Amino acid sequence: MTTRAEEADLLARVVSGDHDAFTDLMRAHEGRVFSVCLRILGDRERALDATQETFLTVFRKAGQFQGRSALGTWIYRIAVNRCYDDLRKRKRERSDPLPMHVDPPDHGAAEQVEAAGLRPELQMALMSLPPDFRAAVVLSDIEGFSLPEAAETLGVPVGTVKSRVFRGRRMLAERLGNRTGR
Amino acid sequence: MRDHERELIAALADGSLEDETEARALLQSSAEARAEYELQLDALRALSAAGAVMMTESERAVLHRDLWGRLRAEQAKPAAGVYRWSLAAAALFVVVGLAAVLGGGLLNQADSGEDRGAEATAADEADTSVAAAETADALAGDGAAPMSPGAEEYFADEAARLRQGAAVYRAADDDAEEEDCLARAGLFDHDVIAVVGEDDAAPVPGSYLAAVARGEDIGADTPIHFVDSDVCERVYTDG
Repeated sequence: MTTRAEEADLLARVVSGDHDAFTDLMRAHEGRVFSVCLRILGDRERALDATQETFLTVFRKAGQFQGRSALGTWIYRIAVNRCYDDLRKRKRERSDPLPMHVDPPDHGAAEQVEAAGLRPELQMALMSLPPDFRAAVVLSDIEGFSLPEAAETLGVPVGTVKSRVFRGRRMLAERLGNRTGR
Repeated sequence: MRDHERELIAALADGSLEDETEARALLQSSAEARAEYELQLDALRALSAAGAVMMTESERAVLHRDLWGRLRAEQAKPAAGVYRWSLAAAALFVVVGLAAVLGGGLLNQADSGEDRGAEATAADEADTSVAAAETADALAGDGAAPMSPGAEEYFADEAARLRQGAAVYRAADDDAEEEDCLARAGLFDHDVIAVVGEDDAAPVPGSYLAAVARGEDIGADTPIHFVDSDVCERVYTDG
């Protein structure tokens, strides 16, 4: 567990161009960033891309961090926003007109979901939630963030994140129930 | 069941209630509350079974290799830009120096030795300028990249493009995360009309939400705000 003073020192070294400090910072957070992105995106390759984009942003904007939140919270917020960017980009791509050549259906989707490290039916139910509900459930119920930490990471009030978590859980259980034929 | 009651039941299920009396009473009196309680427990059971996700060693190696590759490439890119600026500055010094020398020569009929001296001084200044720019560049290469010099021009150009009716993307109604991001940037009741900066060729890192006040048509004077989608801060306003 690092203190705010240690975080500030590490970040100051990153800003001054200390590559070892940046590597230390990555090592401390990359596993959890990847895990959050994987749960939100449901695909290892996209999660790895989002992790890379997150740390690029951290490197570029380290000098802008004002210490109003914990460094980890700032990094996870960037990660969640990067995942939202990815989802938004996918949505726009899907809404673009179909190309002349249409790819065959993706039979590997189930394998991809399995690769996300969750039971396939759970990951598919998670992927069916609206992104803001999904992110709240992932942070709170899978990654173990407290509600205030999740709220700070998502940039919404605690009441909002609580409501998203509760409603997300209900949707998830309903979808899991449908899949198992209850 | 009202929202408050649902939240009460959900909090009972996850054990976060300090006083369970009201929730327990509700559970006893309402079949709907019991169904809600079961759903919440089902979800919690399913989620608690989620195993830990680990990055494999090869994924970690790829992450570090690609990340450092991109950072090195980025650090090389501004160098070219700064070099171009320093050449332009050097050229300007030479022109100004020549003008001063020629002007001085015509007005004061100064001797040619003095002219050469002035020209040499201008050239020296130009050299100093290049050296200073290169030093600044070397420093920039070692540290975190600041907002690039072309950022303001880039956002102004993007705003002009949007005003001219370039493909405007309007966020879907369910894009609550974009609205959250705008709100964090202090832009309430605004709509995202475009996402810019995603192109690698853009002089700004990351992507930016372009937003206007809700319901406004995009006219020549309509303020268009650009919000950094990573940190949800307003970086530029046009108009």
